[in-house]
Amino acid sequence: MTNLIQEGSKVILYLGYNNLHVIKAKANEVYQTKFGALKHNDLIGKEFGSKIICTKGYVHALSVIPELWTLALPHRTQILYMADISLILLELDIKPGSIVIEAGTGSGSLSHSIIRSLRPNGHLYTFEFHELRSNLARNEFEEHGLSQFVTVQHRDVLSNGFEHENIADAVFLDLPAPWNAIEHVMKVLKKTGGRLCTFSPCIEQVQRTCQRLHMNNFEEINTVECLRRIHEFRYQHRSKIRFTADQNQEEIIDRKSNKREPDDDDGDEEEETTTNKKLKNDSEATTKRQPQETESTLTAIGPLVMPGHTGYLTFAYIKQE
Amino acid sequence: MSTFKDGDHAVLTCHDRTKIVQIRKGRPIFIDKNKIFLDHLIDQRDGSYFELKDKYLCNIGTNQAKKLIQTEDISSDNAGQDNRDLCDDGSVNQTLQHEEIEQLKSEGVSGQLIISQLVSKSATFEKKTAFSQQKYLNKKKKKYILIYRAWKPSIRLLCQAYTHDLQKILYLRRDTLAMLLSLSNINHGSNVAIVESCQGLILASVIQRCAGGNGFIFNLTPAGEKNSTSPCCDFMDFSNEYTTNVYTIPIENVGDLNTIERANQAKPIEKPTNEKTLQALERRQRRLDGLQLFEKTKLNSLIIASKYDSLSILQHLIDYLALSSHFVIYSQTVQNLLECYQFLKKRGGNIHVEIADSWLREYQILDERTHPFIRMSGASGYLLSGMIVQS
Repeated sequence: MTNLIQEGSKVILYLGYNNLHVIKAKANEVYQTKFGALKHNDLIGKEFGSKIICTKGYVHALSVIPELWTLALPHRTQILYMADISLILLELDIKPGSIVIEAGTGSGSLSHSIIRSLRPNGHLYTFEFHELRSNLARNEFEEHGLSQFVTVQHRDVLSNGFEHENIADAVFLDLPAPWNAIEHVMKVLKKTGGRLCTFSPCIEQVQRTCQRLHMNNFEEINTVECLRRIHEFRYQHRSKIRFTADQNQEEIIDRKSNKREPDDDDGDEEEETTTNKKLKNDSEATTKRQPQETESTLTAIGPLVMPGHTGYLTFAYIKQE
Repeated sequence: MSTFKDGDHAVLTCHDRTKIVQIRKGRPIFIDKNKIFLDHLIDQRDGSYFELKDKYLCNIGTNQAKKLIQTEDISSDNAGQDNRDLCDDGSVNQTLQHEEIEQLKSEGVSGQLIISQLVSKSATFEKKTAFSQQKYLNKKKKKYILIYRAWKPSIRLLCQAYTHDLQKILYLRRDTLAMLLSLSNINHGSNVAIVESCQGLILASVIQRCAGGNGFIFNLTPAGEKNSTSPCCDFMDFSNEYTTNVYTIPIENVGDLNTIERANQAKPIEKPTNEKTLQALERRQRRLDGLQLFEKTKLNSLIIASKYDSLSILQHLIDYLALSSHFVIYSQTVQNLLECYQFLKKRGGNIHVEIADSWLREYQILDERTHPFIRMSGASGYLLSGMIVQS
């Protein structure tokens, strides 16, 4: 895979955090961004990762890698995100050479990650019952140079099954009624053993799926939910309370070290605190204490609002023959 | 179909326990201080069931095994309605004594028989609700019916095996490992540098995902020693094809161009007399080759999950990363990563920098008894990830 942007390359423009645009490089064309016009000619021949100057700023040109694609892709359906995708890949043991079945294709978010993991000698068969969606996905794989690793089929697997038999190392189902596909799954999974994963947002769906899996002798069935919390970086500035007790202490020290005339009596404590602000401006002693008064630390804090639920992932082994 | 051969590794599972073992003829392993021979695993298929018979794990049919470990279905006819009649008044509920059970076990009485005796000698079993009876039986099965399953090792199973030994792998949970692999964009053909202290779990995952591609995998360890990362790589029984592009190099010498020169000057003391020194020389040459290769290679991914200071490692290695490459740093605490973040912001040339942790919750799915597991892991550690771009 070349690392240079060519005519016809898909490019992800990174304008800022969570601000990604997808374009196809075409000579002489111009693309409008919030940083002004971007000439496609400035892209072509550059290395991926380059900074591209626009009329009012710059963007970074990146290649289509699965994680960015997930954030930038045109949504045709609900999609799976990085946390669930990663866990699916690990739990389904998807590795180079794996034969994987996916239904439905949806917007192709998971498909891209699966393909990355099974290259160069594995294959993904992905099924979608919505014809337009399956065509769009097929085009995208073509544009991203992944066609040889994936077969996209327009097919309703619930009624028609997966067409193939005894070929898959792993099956992933993201269907409204995955339990109705279990018999088909048993046909397509390798008889010598294979893994199944279903994704369902509702617990009732999970229950029906698990019932059906038990009935069909699936093994080691387990259900998990995974959420990723992206933290925010923030400098936390904390002002300190000026305790009068400490101040007295400091004053004694100040007096000793500065050998200032003892203007104030100890009895003036209350007045001292009320006139604190004034003192702060002109007194030498307080400017010395200044650095102690606010403390700044870089912190990472969890998101105030975050996606609290995506779906339940259920994994199982098919019973070996 | 993969079968086990002499010398292979296997992951043994028994209920919720997992153990990684090596199969060697005539060499026992130890489980709970019991000597067990694995000779009969040889030539058996991945996922086969085994029963312990006279110190040997012996293959049993899938159907027979499933019958033994199947969870009990109990009708509510012989069960109580609720727990109003159950009270712990201090009297002895179970009359079968521990010594008697041990006696039965040593006589070779089957687990099933022991469980039925336990049930018949339990004063309260019949008063329990059907759900409660089922729970009781399943608990006893876990204790008395020991059916093992032997699996070919996979990264998933290694993670499972380490769940009770998390301190050995810096508390890296499987979902965190999964995300680390995604975020570093590891794929066939990547040039990857790894600095890890997780028993080689990350290295093994990377080797598997790269599958002997054209790229190089650099395993950076103190003094170029393999010991810290060899366990998991050994468990995976990788073929030579997978490991020819893996170089373990001394991290201290990275960026020091004099190292190779010095090494070459020191070379004359050659006396390849016995096999051991010959091997040592080979290893040394491999380290030097790797080091030279590393200086010339532009990395596509950098993964740090080390017990050493991540910031100084990052500072040292970041310039080896190519444009549009990925870095991921794992740490159990967020503070280490904040230092790295501050450095990255100051340096520039990186985008999409994120710090994240994750939450993994397992569920019990049973008719009318579905709920999350009572216990869950609450500390996944944190991942700092980002991409290198032109600044």
